[in-house]
Amino acid sequence: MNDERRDDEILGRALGRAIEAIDLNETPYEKSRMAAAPRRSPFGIWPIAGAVVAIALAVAIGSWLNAAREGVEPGPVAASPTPVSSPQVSTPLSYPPVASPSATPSAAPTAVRRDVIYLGRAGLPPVAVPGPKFADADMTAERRIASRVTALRAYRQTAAPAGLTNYLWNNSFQGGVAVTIAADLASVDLLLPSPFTAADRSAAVAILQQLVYTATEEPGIRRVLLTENGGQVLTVGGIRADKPLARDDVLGYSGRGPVGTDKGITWAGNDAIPHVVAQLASVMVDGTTVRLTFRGSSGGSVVDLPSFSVSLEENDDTKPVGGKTAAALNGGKYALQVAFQWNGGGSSVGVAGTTIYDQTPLRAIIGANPYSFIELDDARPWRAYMPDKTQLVVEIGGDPQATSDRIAVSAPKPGDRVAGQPQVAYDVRLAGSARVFEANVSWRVRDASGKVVATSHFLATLGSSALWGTFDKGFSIPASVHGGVTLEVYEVSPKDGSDQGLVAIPLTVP
Amino acid sequence: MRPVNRGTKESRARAALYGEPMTDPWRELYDREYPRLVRALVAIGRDPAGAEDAAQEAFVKAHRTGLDHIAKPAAWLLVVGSREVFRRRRRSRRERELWASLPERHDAVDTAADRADLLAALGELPDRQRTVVVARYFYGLSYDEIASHFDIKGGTVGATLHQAIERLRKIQLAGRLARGAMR
Repeated sequence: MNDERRDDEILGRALGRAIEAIDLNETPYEKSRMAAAPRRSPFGIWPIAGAVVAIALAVAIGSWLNAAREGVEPGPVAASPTPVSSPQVSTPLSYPPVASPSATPSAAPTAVRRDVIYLGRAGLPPVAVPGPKFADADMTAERRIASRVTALRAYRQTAAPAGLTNYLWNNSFQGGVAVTIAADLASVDLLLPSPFTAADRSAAVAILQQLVYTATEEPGIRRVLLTENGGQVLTVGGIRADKPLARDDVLGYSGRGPVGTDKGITWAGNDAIPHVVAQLASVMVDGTTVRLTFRGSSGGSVVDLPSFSVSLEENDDTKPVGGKTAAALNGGKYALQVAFQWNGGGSSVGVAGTTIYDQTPLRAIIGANPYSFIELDDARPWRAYMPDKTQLVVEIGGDPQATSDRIAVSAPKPGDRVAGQPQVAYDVRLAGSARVFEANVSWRVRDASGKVVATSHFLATLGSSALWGTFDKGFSIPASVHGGVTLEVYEVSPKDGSDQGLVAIPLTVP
Repeated sequence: MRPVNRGTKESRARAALYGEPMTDPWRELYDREYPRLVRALVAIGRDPAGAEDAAQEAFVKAHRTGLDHIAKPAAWLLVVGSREVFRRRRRSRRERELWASLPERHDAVDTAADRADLLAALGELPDRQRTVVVARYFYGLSYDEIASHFDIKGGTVGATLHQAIERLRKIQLAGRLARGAMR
């Protein structure tokens, strides 16, 4: 050791002794916060979850790619949102359901409708409503985009369905659109006598969402470069649209959902049961969330589901979802593929079916046994969980404030007012799904000043697996807390203890 | 292979061999690590109340994570605790006054003064240097351990430490001179 290093070491050790001599008021273990936390085993549940995953990987090397004549039957679908009754997440979503013109068709539509424009919702993704009629079949893509965007100017707020806002109504845009197209990029220049007015940031975001979704409604167009007054950068409420924007850039979620087969979810089910049909038992869509429930059935009785895989892929919406279905239907910008192991055993029961929804963000469900293609408008986050072995729930979207890449809270909802007796603690239901390490979901409540007034954690049904776990628990807010609070639900990183995938849900306590 | 906590394993082995009651591994960890962790966090954060808070929080987080997933609980607690200290300190800016009220042990007057000097000098270092110094000279972590736990490039740990000690020496010297002048 050289002199310099030794000198350092001497001073360092002196410092160590100085730190050792700091006086402490030692909190005994019994009074530590850890001792007050809910009991848990020091060994966690990983061994069990790990075994499940290992088995899934070992078994899932089956082939579900055989040509099939039996399998998924799209179930009867109600025109109004049908909440899925599942023991884990049973609260129906309460956002204003959107009356879609094609929900109760007089004649069954044969194509996804493209004559739509998008209206906005503060803090939520935009929703499609019927827009201009394209009489001329020879109309160019540029002219169709221009007339959709122009229709935003003309769509009166009084005509908008409840819960939707046309942020461009009575705003500065009064017509004048120039559109050019290069590959999948549309350049849209607006004539603006004055800049757009937006009351706040969420209104500015909503204007951008409306413009981007409406302009990219044209099949084959995935991105739009918005400019004003002959090529100047469009600025809305301080947000500069200085690069081409895709729908995924303005979704409003912390990120888009996992895209690609390698990021899909596979599960090893019971492939020993013959003649299983994975029936699409219910479809719920409300503009923010799509929830599909598949149930295993065989000969009229409920059985365990066979193996399956779920993945979201980019989709070319100029081409029919071809080769996979009898109905040559053009789909959405993305398609979520749900593929079940074919346990048909040569049965010829079941016909591939196609159902058009046209309720944002669900365009159509194309059943080509044993697949289902869920045609979607965008790549909002999605997840899959199993309330039990006979049911698979695939959930797409959710409130952006309550949704992250690993946590989706369905109750309480952002803005909810907490009910309860002011004298005692407020008990609040906390439900949703999560895919976090060790199934360990943490939460805390901050009061208006940001101080943590309650915190704890609990286990979801499943953790550290491809499938998400669910939870339906309660938590308490101390009686002394009033006014605005924020519920934060997150994962504690096993690596460094930092918060991961945090969702922050504003609530009001009376 | 997943890491297994040594303390837990020992207590399990003792339980199996000698029929001793298996001790609570959390209590074991707490009793062993808590005083050291709080002292380290006082030195790093210069706020005794905040250090206590941060240490409690670090244990709660360890508890949530599970002992089975923490290879080196002592270092893990120091990493999580020091992060917690910095996070809290960003919120409150009362550190100077609190540092001034730091309790001292009343040994020989000069030693206590020296110690106070050293701790005060430590307080003058940037956050990162301070943390590395405490990890090395109070926790006795190796350069490699410091590099991996605190996400620092392996080669720079030695240099950071040397710079920090060099600065400590200068500040401490200045303090001594000042005190000498006041006597």
